[in-house]
Amino acid sequence: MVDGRMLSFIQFLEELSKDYITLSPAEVQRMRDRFGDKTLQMGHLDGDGSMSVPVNAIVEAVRSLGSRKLIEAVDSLKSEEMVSMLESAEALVERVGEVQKRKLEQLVEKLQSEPDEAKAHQEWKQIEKMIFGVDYPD
Amino acid sequence: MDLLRLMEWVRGNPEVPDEAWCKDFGTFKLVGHGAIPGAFLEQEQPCFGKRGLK
Repeated sequence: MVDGRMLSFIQFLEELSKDYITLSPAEVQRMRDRFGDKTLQMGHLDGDGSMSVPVNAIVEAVRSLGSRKLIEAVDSLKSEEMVSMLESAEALVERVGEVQKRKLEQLVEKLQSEPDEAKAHQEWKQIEKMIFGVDYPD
Repeated sequence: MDLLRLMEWVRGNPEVPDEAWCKDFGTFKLVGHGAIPGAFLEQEQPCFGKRGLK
């Protein structure tokens, strides 16, 4: 997302306004090498090896981590050598996946208590998108 | 919840055969062909296609 560049305020807002952030294939591989397959639970792999990660899950995970651990996590992700701070980065990766599992549970609960068939169908489409990462035609 | 198991499985980039397959998630099954998931089956409906996918 940043590749060591500093984002301007507008660029930052543009990134936040997206539904998904795309991690490059190289970035995905680097994170899999460091954190294992839990990296894959952050989002959906595309055919080229890139990964789409929901922005709202990242934001929620970042908020839950706390500022000190977040700074450590970012430093760790930027550097290959800061092994001592690896734990914070790993926690961030795990939380991005956990946030989405929680959201899936909430969506399923909402669907199960939805009396309106049309609304229930829309909710199922959201669940389908979250699980498979694509919109399937009806 | 079995839908969580399904999401974890899908996101784990599973290897699926280039033919019909079936994966049992407990309360439901998912059948597909190659990389394309086809349909959900209820628990008591019989699987068809290759089974035992990791």
